[in-house]
Amino acid sequence: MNFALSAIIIAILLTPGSTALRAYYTSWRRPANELPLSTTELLFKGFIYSFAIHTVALLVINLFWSNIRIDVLYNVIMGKDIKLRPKQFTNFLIEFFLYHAILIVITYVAVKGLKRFIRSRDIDLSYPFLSPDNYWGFLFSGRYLQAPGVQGDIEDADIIIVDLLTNKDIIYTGILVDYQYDAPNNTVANFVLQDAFKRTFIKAENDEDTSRTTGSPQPVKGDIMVIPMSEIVNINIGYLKLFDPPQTDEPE
Amino acid sequence: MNVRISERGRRLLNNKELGSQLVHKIIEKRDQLSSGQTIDVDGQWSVKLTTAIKEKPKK
Repeated sequence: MNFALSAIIIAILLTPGSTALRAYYTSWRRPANELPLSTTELLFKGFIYSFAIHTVALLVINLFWSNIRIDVLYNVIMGKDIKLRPKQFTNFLIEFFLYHAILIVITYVAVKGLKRFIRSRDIDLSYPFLSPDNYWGFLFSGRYLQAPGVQGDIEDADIIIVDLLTNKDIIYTGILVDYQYDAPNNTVANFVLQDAFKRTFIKAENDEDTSRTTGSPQPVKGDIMVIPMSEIVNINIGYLKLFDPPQTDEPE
Repeated sequence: MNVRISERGRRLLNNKELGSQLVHKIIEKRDQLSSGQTIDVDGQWSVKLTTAIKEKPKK
């Protein structure tokens, strides 16, 4: 019983750190860009963050409010006798859970704010360990173009075109409109292409068109084409800038 | 949507025929595109390659 209670208390103590990691590495708006983090990783990686957050919170509380009964918490975790009346112990538990509920909310909001600040200043592009996106999300969101040393800018990428060479020596080329992210394996599960064309990787012997090195492109019927990553051996990604005819109804 | 598509790109995607024309032109004129030239798509729209990268899936 004591062991179970200690385990629960320790798990709760680690939640602010895991909340901080979740707030930083998950996104409601762009779930496919998230970095994969298991619950175990969240707890263990969040240990240091939890320690720092608790230290700051306890300092603030001790400074402005009252002393925290750390001795009671220590005794509960170590399975020692607690010299408290039932009502005092109930009050202690209420304070403990209230403290954590408030701390989790503050941590979540503060880390989301920090993430927004880091992204708005592109700090994560110079310091990749701060990047809240997985690699594929980084590529396909166009943020790759804002990284130092990369030619172009995100404003120069209106659409992304991909060439997908499959294990059957067929190249599918199309406009990338979506993809499914396989978080456990940190890879793409499927590519979703619009206006796809397919052609053979090896040019037919009787093909006399000298302008091509591959087979003749044939449009793929249907609006959308989904290609699983398991069939792909090579990927070319092109960021394209479009120049459209002047719009009379929409000022540029 | 998780993929970069600008407002201009969305307008192009809404035109099924234009999207198809664009992809076909890109395949046919890949060399010119790769050398930084702007390619005409339909007499009105044109396209230029900003940058390109190659990737291999993890197996």
